[in-house]
Amino acid sequence: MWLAIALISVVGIAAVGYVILPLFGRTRTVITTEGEELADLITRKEVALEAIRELAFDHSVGKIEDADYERFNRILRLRAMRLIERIDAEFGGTNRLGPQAVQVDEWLELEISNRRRVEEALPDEGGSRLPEE
Amino acid sequence: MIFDFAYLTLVLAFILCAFGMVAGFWGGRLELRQAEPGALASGRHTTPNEPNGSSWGVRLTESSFHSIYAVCGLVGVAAVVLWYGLLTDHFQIAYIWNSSERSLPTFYKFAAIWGGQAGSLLFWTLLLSLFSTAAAVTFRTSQRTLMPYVNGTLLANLLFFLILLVFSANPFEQIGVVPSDGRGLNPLLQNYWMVIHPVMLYLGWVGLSIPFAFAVAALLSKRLDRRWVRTVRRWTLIPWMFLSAGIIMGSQWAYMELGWGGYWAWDPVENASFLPWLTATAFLHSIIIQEQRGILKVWNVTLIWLTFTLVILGTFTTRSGILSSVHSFAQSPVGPYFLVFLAVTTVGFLLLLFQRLPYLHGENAIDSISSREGAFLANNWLFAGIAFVVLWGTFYPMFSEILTGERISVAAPWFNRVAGPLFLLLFVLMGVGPLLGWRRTGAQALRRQFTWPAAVALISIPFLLFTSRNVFPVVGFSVCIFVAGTIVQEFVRGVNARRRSRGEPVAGALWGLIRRNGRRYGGYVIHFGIVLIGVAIIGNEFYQSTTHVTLSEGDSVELSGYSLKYVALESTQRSNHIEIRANLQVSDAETGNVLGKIFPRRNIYDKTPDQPTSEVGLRMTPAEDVYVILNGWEGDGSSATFTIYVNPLTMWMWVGGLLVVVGTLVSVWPHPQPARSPREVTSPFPDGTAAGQASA
Repeated sequence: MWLAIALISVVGIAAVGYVILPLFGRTRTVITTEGEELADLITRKEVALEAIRELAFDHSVGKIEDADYERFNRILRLRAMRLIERIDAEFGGTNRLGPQAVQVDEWLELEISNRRRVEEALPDEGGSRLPEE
Repeated sequence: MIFDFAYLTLVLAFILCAFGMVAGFWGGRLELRQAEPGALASGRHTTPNEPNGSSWGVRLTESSFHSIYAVCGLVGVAAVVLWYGLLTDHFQIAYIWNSSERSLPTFYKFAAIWGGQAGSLLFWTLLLSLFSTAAAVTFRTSQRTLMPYVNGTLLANLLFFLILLVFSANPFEQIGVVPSDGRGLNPLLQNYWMVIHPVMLYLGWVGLSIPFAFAVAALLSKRLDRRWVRTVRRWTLIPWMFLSAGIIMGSQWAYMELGWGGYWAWDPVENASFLPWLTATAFLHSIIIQEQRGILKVWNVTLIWLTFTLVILGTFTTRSGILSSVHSFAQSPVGPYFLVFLAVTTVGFLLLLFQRLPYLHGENAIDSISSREGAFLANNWLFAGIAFVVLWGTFYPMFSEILTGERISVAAPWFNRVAGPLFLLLFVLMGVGPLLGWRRTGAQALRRQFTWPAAVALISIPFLLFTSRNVFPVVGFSVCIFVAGTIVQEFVRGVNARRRSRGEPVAGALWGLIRRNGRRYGGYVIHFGIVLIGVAIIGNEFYQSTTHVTLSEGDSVELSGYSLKYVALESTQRSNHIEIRANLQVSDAETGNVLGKIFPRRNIYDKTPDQPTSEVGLRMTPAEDVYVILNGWEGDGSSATFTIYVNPLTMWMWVGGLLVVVGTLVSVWPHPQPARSPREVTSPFPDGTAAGQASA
């Protein structure tokens, strides 16, 4: 029993030390409001892009009628463009993009084609590359 | 000495767990306060520099991460020591004495850790600590706002189980003497399905704590956007897969071991595993709606809380002895602890939910009922309805005893009668949902989508009427055919669309379809697996035939086109039991062709000779199983009594279960993602972590 207590004392000191170490140490990770907002916007933009893709697929297999497709596609693209604009304006303006700055609707098309290219693993034809890449 | 040490590691884990839980919740609160807009004038980097460069919020959060890792290590040490004790026959430990014996095969000695109360609680704690560690490592930087609360919630959950282990169900309790041998493992548990089935269930139950922890974290941090549901999708699907596999394996065990001709008896403990499966399945569907449309936010957090609560309730049911069950292997005084834990989590969660209601408003409305979200919503109502029915039926004996003083149980026919029609509607929706597009599906599209599957289902009805005059199996099979038709149509149309747009060959188009849309097509594979399970259930429920017969050596009996001839009774001594098996020859009753042999058995264990177990003899084919139980025999075996069943289509239940697992793996398989543009990889964190790593 005494040996067990001695052994657990050693393990206990090591474990407690390990757990409380960050309280005395140097930690660089911090959270910013900006980071959370950006993450939220990016998630919403990704959801919108996925929804555009799903809509196009559903339309191609006949689940969505042409008129509905046109309407929902317009709404989703508008939403995605607004999100791209917000990300662009609030978290890194177009001046970051260098000389090849483009319009938001062109950005959206590039984003959609870029996603499609990666998902399909198509050979890179160069035409759908984002300016920064 | 080593067992004292192992117990003390649990005590140490308990202390560190309590500290880590407080550190997680407190750290999260401090970090959130600092991150709130206006906390600092700059609004950009909100953490004030402390003398050594870090805020208390961050430090406490880091400490909670370390607590999870330390608790995992300590619980791991305790589990390894218990395994060591089981494998080396240390019978001075009460748990090992009760759950093992020298002659027990090593395989079962290893599995004995989950064969009794204290060991299974330790195993549960080990799995929970491993899941918690995996989540902590995966989301340490990408979900920085949620993680302190996730850690706090997971550690609170761990703390509860450590309290049980330290104060109520110590697996290292010693009996004061060293017995020469143990009392042996429950004979019913000495079956290979029973070795793997609890592990699968535990992985499912324990894994569902992770999405619950994220839901609590989202509520506490007020980050109730779509990110947390995207994050937990895979972390719900994987435990769901384990839970599904566990339920199917449990059915296989009941089918092979309990010897009553079926696989599901609506037993309270079976229901205990099925209830969280129902709510978790509903959750998996409804988070897709939240992700796509930003609605059902309250419903989703409620569903995952219900799932977690039902897991704890199920564990309480199994261990408290409150409901009698063939599965109640472990009954002990831990019941009140579970009840208190249930009450605390329920009250705490509901208070938090009501407090956060203003943050849970939907972002959109459902455009049309003829849409996929409309079908998903209806499917959620049905899942909730079935869960309520099963819960009511399971606890009815308890309610009736409280209200009338008389314990009245409801049996399988009641469950089948009440839940059966709801399941049928659910199957219909399983076929309808995939045919609808998001937002709205117009009349023309509806006609185009439904024509073929509905036609195939209708055409099948006259043929099905030849098999049975009973309307229920005919309707059931035709619904299964309709659902299977919709799935086949989905694959065919998807492949055709790709072939049209890309000119790919069929195989390439199919591969591309699954690779690009793994989530959708993996879901269809799961649905197809469920259809096969439905087919097996209908076959077994409505077309089963049975006979009870005593045969002398050389005598035969006929049943459903089979002739079974009793050849002899054989006896074999195994390591810890005598195996008595009957040799029966199966032939085609019409042609006389010999089809094979069947060996139903009885195992008489050395430690429990008064509890012989039945091991059924089985001849399994895609069309039907010939299933034989050896009930008894005369003296030297000159005659023996058998119960014989012919169970149509049962094999498809196990195939369907396998497809559910395969489909889940397809769904969770990582999907190719485009690289982010530089402005999006601009990290919100100084260590350069990308912000949008939402779904790990």
